[in-house]
Amino acid sequence: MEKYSQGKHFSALAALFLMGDAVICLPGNRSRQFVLIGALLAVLLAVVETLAVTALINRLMRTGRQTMLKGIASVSAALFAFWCGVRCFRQFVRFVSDILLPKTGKVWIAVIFLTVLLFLLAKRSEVLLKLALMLFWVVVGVIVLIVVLSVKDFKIAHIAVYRLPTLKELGEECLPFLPGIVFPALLIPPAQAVICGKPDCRGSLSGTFFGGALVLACFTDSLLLFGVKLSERLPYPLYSAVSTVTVGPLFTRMDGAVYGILFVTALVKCTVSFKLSIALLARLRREISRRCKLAEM
Amino acid sequence: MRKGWIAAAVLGVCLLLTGCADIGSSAKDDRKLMVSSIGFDEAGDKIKASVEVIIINSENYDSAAKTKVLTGEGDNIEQAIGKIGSSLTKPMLFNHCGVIGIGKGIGAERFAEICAYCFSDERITLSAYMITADDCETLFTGEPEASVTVGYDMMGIIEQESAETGVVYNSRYFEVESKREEGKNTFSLPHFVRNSSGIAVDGMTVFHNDRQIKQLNNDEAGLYALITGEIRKGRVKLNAGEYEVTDRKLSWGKNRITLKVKVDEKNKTDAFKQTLLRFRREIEQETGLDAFGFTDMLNQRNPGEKRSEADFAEIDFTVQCRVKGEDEKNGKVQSR
Repeated sequence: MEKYSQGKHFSALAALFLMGDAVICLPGNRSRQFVLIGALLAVLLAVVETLAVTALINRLMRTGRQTMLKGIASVSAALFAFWCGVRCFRQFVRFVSDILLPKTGKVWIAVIFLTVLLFLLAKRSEVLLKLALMLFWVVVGVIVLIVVLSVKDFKIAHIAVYRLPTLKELGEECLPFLPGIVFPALLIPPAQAVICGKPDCRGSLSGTFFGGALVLACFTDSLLLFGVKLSERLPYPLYSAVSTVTVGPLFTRMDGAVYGILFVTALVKCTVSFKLSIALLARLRREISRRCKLAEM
Repeated sequence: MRKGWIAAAVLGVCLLLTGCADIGSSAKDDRKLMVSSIGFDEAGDKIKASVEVIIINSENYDSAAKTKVLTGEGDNIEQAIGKIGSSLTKPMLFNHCGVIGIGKGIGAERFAEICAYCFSDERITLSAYMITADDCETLFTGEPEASVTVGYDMMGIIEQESAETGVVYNSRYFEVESKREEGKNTFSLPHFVRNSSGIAVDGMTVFHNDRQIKQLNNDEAGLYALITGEIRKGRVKLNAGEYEVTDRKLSWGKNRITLKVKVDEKNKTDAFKQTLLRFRREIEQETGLDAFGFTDMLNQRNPGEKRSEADFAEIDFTVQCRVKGEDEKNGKVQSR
């Protein structure tokens, strides 16, 4: 497991985790003129908090005994991870139900996704890490292709700013990215601790950075095509952006690319979230059982 | 046992999400009539929708696909399209609609209604080209020349025309909707006509606040595109090759817009300059409106000073025309 803890495997997993459902939904419906600056700030925040949480976890792990603080941190992380997983799962089902299979009941979409999810949860962590590395490069390739094919329709005026934002405006622009990028990044170091044995700055940081960069690339693609106001109205900006890709007068119908990206990133996010939640709650349960036995003695 | 509980929990969560929808209907999706163009014309108080559909003989796939134009009228777009749909044995498939046509009589309210309908109907792709025509039904009727349908022909003609003249029409639905959403008051769409030799682009129609205010012929469309910036970089021929423009830049002041162009021949600089200035005056006098979107341009670059559209005539528009190879003499250039 040592070779996976610091290398590109966890980095790829963290990047896909951070992309999750954010890649399809951003910029969201509260975007304004400085939304791109807000997004950049959100990614920066995510990177900084990954560093901070890694340091905190390393410190907690150094104290051998289970303290109250460790217990609270474990429960909080477990519940938050569960919430992230459920949120991502619901978003995925909603997208597939709205766009891909509008006449198919959500229950069937959920069954397929949950089946694959359970299969991955039952596998060892090494399988997840290897899969993440392979899928990461596929996702990167597809996103690069989408951006390259969209370049001819980009309008720089859509992201041009003619004055600097105030702090209040910057804060407001950063808000839509909190549940999608900033808060989920908190789970990357504990996920590394559970999946790889111990948290490590290199893997977590690079994963957060690359994941944030890829989300930004998709999000900026939408902004350059549609502008801020129209991107705000679109429920799934990346999907709409891909539908505009043409070669001359011909539609390329690259929608399948978006379905693939979202399936991969949502699957990874849900798997990591639930794996983390289950692992933390299991550890807590073991510790409580151990203490109960000690108390009986 | 544990796996059984997990399976039961999964099924329980799935059942909670929603009731089972009709999953059998998706099998019927392959038997729909494909719509290649949709057009809207005013019919008194009602709106007339015209759709060009592709009909394939499912019993003999070797026979060529045919097209048919169907129309329906209604108080609103849903009714009009519903009337068309009710006369068909198969439902219509809009996912491959390439052209959205706007008839001459369509006013501002109807145009907004059309844009809202196209946005809300996710089947209509954002990449569809928006065009204008005197009458959409007449335009769509006829034999296609280069492709399967007249609509797809129009898409090819727009690309070809753009490559030949240098005018960038920016008329795809998402481009038009983006401008409207950003608060831009002015945009233009290519205008199509049907004549004895088939369909062709005959200039463009200028819109202001969703209302069609002026129809320009091909020569005028080139000049309009040069002023508004909707023109390709590189060598561009205008007025049927009379002027060859090699460079174009805009610079802005507080109440001033300067268009800097370079042409190929020295003896044409004054004539071209006068042509552009006269063109601007004539269009604004005829329409009484800021037909070139100068107010939008200045407001975008000076967001702190929102100027009123009513003052558009006071905006100083000047043209500096040089020969290719001459250096810039004064001031900085801000390119657009």
